[in-house]
Amino acid sequence: MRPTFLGFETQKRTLQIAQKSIDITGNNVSNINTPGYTRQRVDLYAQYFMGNRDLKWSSKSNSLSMTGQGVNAYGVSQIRDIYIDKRYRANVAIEAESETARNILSELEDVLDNFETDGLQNFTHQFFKAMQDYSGEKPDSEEIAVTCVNTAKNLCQLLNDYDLRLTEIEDTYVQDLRDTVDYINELTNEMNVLNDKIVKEKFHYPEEYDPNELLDEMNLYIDELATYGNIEVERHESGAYSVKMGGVTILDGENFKTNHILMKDYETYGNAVLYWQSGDSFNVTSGSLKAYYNLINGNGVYATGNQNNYYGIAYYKSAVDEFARTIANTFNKANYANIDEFRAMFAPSEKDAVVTAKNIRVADSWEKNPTMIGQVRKFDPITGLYEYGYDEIRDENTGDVQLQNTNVLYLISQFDNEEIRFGTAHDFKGSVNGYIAFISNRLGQTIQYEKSRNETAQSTVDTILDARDDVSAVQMDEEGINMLNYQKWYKASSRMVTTLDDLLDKLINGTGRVGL
Amino acid sequence: MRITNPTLLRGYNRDLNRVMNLKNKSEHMITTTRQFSRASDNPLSAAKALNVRKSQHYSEQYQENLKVAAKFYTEAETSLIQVSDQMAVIRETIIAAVNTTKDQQDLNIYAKQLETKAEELCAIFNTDSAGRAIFGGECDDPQPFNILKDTNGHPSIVTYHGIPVNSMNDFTKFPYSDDVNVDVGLGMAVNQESHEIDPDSVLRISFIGPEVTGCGAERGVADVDLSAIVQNRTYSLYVYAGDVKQKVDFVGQGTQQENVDEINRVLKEAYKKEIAYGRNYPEMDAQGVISLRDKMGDAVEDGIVSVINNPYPPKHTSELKVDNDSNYTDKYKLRLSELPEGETYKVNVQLGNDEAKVIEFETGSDNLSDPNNPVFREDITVQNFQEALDEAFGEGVITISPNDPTKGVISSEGNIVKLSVYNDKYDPDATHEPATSYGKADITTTSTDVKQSNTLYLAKLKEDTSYAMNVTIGGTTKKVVFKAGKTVSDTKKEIAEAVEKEFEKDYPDGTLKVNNKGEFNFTDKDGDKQTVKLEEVAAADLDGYTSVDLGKTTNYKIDLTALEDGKEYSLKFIVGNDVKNITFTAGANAGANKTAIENELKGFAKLDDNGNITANGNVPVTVSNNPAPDSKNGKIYERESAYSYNYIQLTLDAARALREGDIEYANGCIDRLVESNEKLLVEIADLGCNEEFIDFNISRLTVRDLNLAERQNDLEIIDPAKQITLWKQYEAMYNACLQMSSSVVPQSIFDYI
Repeated sequence: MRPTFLGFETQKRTLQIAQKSIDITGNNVSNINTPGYTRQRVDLYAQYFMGNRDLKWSSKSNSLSMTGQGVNAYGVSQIRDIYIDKRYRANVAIEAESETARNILSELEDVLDNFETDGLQNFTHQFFKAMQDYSGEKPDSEEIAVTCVNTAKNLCQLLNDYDLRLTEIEDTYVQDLRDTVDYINELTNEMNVLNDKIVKEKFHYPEEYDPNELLDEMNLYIDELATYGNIEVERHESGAYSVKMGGVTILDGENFKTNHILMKDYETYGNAVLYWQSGDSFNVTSGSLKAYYNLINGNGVYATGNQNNYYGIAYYKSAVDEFARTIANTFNKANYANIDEFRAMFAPSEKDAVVTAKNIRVADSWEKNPTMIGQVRKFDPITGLYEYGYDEIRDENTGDVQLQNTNVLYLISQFDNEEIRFGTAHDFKGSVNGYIAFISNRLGQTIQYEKSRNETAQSTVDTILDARDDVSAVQMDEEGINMLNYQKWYKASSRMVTTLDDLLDKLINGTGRVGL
Repeated sequence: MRITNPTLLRGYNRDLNRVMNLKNKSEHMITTTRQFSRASDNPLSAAKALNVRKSQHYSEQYQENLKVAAKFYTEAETSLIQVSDQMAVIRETIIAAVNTTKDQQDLNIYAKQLETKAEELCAIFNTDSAGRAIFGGECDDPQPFNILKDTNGHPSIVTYHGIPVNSMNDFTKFPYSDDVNVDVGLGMAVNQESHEIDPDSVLRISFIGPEVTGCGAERGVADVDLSAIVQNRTYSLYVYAGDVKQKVDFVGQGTQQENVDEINRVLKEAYKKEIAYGRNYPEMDAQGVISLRDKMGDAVEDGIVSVINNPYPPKHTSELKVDNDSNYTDKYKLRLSELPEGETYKVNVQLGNDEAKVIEFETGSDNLSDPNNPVFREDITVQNFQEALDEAFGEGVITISPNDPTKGVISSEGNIVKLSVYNDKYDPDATHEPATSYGKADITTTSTDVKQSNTLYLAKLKEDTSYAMNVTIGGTTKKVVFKAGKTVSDTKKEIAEAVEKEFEKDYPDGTLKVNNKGEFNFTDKDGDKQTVKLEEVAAADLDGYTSVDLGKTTNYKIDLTALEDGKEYSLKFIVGNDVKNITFTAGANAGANKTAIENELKGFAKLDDNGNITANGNVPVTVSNNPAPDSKNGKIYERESAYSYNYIQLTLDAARALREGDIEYANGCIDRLVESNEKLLVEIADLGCNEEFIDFNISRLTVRDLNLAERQNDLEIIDPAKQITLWKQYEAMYNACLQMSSSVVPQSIFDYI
């Protein structure tokens, strides 16, 4: 037997669901510009009644009378594709990594520029030119030899300046890394809180759908976290999220625990060393943390200990150091400083230190005696000793002395010596100018590599974002059509109530009254 | 696909940004005119650009260096062309001289002409470029060539850096015969071990004189004038024989034969190694001719021996032959070859600051009997000395080097050890008299009144002394004070200034001139001459100044009769401001003495029969015995008797032949000059080639510069037309994008319901 008001109940539910559908459409339209918002929909189903479906109207005990109970809704769901999320997060990590790397390398390139400003090549050339000019003069022409000293000084100052500016960049990005680590830790704290909320929500209302807005917020956090490192996301039964970064759990959704990233004292270690609060070693394969790691610790062929083989700030500092050291060694040796210390043309500012870009100076002995480089080491047949003096030919009759500038020619030949090894790790073998071009080229190539990597990642990320929008974003026309549809639906349902009312009215007020 | 608003907006935003970037980059390229501002913009171009820049820098530098070389070569060529012209004249002169019968006087004139030409050639070869002699090899000083005069004052021997050009056939054995080079981008190759430059990889900017002018001779013997050798006089000679140079010293002997024996003894000593090893060596024959001998003692046909007086004779030293006058250090090396055989020496050896120890050792003896294994006394001496050192200091503490060129240097673990040497006969307090002392001529002086009213004898004034004198011009008398300068002309200037200043009021703009005789001439501003009268200032008015001596001059007289026959005398003459030292040997009587002195004076001053000396002109002469003669060394002169390969020398030889009437010899010079001239033309052609090479390189580098500049442009500089077109395009794209912005968010269904 069909209950009398069954139709009313059905339509009441329909009206409610239609109303909710319109609400959700409105919600979608409202949130069309909300970051992280995932479009929602009301999951509808036709209400059915279990029982005998035989069309036995007369039967007392059939359920046919109970059918046609209209629509019902499971709840409001969000439309999201977790595979798109996964791909997005993998690629955004690469994008962020290459972007950070490119930015830092570009700053290095600004310092080591040879094109828009006078760089190493120019200063080296000035030094070469001064020597050439001096070679045509008598070696005791002090006023011309002074030019050699001055151009060498300029070269040293440029190297000092390079070191200073590279160190500044290093300091800036070490601080950047510290800030980033702090920020990530803060982020995981917030995610932990959010996990708690989500789980509570699920616990209290187990029948309900997920709290969509909380999930959106969580996903936003995860997306952001993905820019810092390669992450893996897992969602538990409880509704909580667990996130691993570089294989180590950073957010434990089951135990509501965070695992913070810590940084060892940079001044003590001289390198950026990160580690997990849990004690695990830190190892990310992409993301901007990876870029910081590479750029700060990347010492190329000179890498030792905590350093890596990337050509980062450390490498270019080493490269500039090597340039300074090699220039100093080459010219010092050519000028016999390996035999007699006072013949050094270049020296570190502190005695007995290894020459670096920071400490390279024109040696005092040269500065005080500019024409020293015009003097050769020669065997004195009378004393049987080697001594230094101008390459002189002594007229045995008059005692007159003629001076030649052969030592400077030899020094000049060092500029084109293709056998010079730059770097303890034998980074480069060739000429001085060759090394300058080599460094410039290596930096340029690395930047270009990062640039094209970034562009590719960016384009991939864009495509994935489009795909994500395809699934999850609000489409205006779609919502408009839904709105019209739901409006008509609502109207029809309402009309149905009137019809049912008419029916009842007829039944109650009109039945049995003939002739009224 | 669902196109949603975020998709559209993101896409638009991305595209707008991309176009903006393109536009911005294009703008930057146009404003900087550079294709890239960082290597990373275009690593390949940047790497190439760095290389191109380096090449540009080098190319510019090489051009500068080449220009230096070009100037040098041009001047060299100009010089050689001049030389070639001069040689034509020389040849013609000789032809003229030998082909017409001339008396000796005419021949002498021709000879004089040739000598002048030779001197001119010398001057040409002494040309310098930017202060450096072009033909001086590595020597910076000008004037590598010089001509020595013979006893008659005729130019006789051409020397290059002090060495006769005839003395060696190998021009590389002359001093300064290495090259001066510049790097002109031929790929300068330097041996990294020895620091030696590969000459093919650089351009030389020096020429070796003897290489250009020729050196050596067809055959050369040195003809020493034995009669000129004075007994007991020390002589120092440079001997060049078989390309080996030796300095030999000997003392003049009593007879000619003794001199020959003595000279042969020192030659043998000097060339003992050559003799021991069977090489050629020099020997003098009884006539005084030194020629090159082979090991059999026969004269070498084309051998050259050349002898000149040592122009820098050693100062007189003690008989200890220790290196005291070395340019190097004098306390560390034994002059082993100068220690006589079999003598015992005592040597002070001082190690560090320890007290010196006395080491006694015996010098060795030569044993040259076995030509395959000659023993030289120096080596024995070293052995003996070493043994003595080992005994005194312990083995190996102090070593004396046994090998040339350090042979004789004593050192301890690389440090030089101080050494003083004396032999057992040494008396440190003894004064060492010169080997030869001169007689003292009896010179008397008388005063003559030579006072003249307007003459002051400038030569008598002492340098840096302030003098006062009264000067009267046109009735006005003033006291003039002046300071005598270093030279006479300085003093003249001083006096003129002082006088003009004193008389400025009376005779403004007047001019005082003092001529060489010391006569004062004053001209006023109108050009009129005024009489000048000079007077000595009264002693009371001197105010501390020295009075000039106007009154007297001193006459000098040599007592010609008081000179000792056969004894040598040395006198110092001062005429005006010129000084001349003469050395002469006294004869038997006053007349002979007069002749001897006049021969040496050569007209420097006059000498009458009574021994009175006067100058030419009214200048005072002073004469004194020369207490410290400049050189105690005798001089001998030699002559070459074969044709020289050096054409300057050949010219001089031709001149000498003409003077001696040796027409045949002079005739022989003609062909050789022709030959030399041909060689010279080849040289000039060579220079021309080099100049062409330089020009070629300069133009090559200029072209290279252009190419490099073009290449740099290609690599670094934008093509403006292309870039501006691109920029316009980007700008249009950007504007179009902006225009699109209004419809990025499309109309939706909401606009219609």
